[in-house]
Amino acid sequence: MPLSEQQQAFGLALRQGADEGFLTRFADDPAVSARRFAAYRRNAWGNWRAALASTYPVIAELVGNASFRALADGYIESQPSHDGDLNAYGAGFAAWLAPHPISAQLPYLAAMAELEWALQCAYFAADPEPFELAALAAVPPERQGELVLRLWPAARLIESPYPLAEIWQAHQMAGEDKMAALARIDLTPGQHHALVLRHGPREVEAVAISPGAAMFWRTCQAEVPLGLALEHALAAEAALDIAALLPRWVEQRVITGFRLP
Amino acid sequence: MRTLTTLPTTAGIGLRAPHHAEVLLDRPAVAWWEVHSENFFADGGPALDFLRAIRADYPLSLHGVGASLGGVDSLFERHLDRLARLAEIIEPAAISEHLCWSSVGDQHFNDLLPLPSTEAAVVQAVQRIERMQERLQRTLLIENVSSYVQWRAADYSEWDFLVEVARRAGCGILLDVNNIHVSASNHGFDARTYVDAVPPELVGEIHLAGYDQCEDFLVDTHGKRVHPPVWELYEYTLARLGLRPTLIEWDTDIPPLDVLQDEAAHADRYLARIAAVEVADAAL
Repeated sequence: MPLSEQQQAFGLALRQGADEGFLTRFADDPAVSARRFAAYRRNAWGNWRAALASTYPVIAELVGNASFRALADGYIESQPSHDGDLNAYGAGFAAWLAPHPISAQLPYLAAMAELEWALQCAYFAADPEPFELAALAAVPPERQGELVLRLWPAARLIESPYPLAEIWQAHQMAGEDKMAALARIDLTPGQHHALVLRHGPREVEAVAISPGAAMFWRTCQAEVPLGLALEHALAAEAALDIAALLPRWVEQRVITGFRLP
Repeated sequence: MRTLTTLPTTAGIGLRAPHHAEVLLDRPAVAWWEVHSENFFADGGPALDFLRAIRADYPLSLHGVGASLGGVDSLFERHLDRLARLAEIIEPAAISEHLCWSSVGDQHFNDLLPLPSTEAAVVQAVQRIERMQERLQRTLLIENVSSYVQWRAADYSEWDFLVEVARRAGCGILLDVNNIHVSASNHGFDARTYVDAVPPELVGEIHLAGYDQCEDFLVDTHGKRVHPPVWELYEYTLARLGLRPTLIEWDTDIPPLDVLQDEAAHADRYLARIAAVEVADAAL
């Protein structure tokens, strides 16, 4: 019997349960093998659940542990793993959650999953090139409008009717602080933007940015020259403080360089 | 004899996330560390920064849990690419993988699953180990896994299967003494028969861990102190093999670091006794 066929049968039983025919492949009595094979099932499912819980801690807090386990099991049933690195397992969770009935009760759930996935990707992403604001200032003023900013590729802008960054930050707190922070959040649908970045050497985070800053981000991402990008940003938000925004994004290492065409 | 590892022949500890911050800050007296390779499959960021810092101060071993050496799958080359990149950055003292399968076709099961002890499985594993050694340009250690079920199809005993793969592939063995005890207990063979069958010159490292009793069989949970019969088997194994780098592994319900250091100190006492015997033998 080919090795691949033995593995296919074992894999199918891991995902869907072992039948009598499958259990006769083992040396022990099928009743004994059934109990022992169940240990493999528990272990594999436990590994997948743990991987999802580690990638999506805020989703688990939003729905509660029992519901999270049911969601995880639903995802595991429909989404096989394709990677020996368990950190990759949750890649499709946001897309899977979006049409799930629970998203009708918690309308920002799938977007929060997208944000948590972006955080994990940022955590493992390549380091940004070192860059200092002084390099920007060294460009002659008459040419500054032409330069095209380079953004850190793992930084992700997520737009939502809900304040995802504030919700995520509240969930990083503990106890009464968390309760108070969550109580302060206005969940009336509006226009919100969260930027996922890796700030400092040790952590990733989601920060809220204004509509003008989001417009500036998108135009820069589309490699629009700085002058035109600023015009778009100010059209979206007349009060945008660009003099504060640029140094902040350099410090947060999401602006990683520029080119002069 | 080929150099299988450059790890010291003392007890090291499996380094897991709950202890990262403490180890980085305190640099505790631990002879060497082993990490799971896949946890550091990163292009950059804090995980790699951490591992570089550890590597600068301690001997480090990369232990893979996802390569699926016996798997008939389409995922292996991509996995190997990422391991090779990590090995290039870290330059570890040892690289090991499990002699098992974890994936078939394009599906991964993220667990260490038992191979049938068949000629077909030997051929599949040997081909992948050869490929991995060629890519990494170094000798790999392969670890015997524990198992709860045993395939009816078999051309070899479990121990002959392990030795046959290692000999044909030209790799070393990471002998997990706890896994031998768990499998011996589950499948009713004598653990010492297994140890006796393993040629000492092939063994580059030993693993120790704790198991749990589940119904009428043992499960390899890595969630307890090393059990007395495993210490006994370890002593028997050292007497046969001589000094070997020995790792304390703990992966579920991970205790404070000092518990792991205490287990490592216990292993070091066994190693010191063997070292004393070796010195005495050399003096004769």
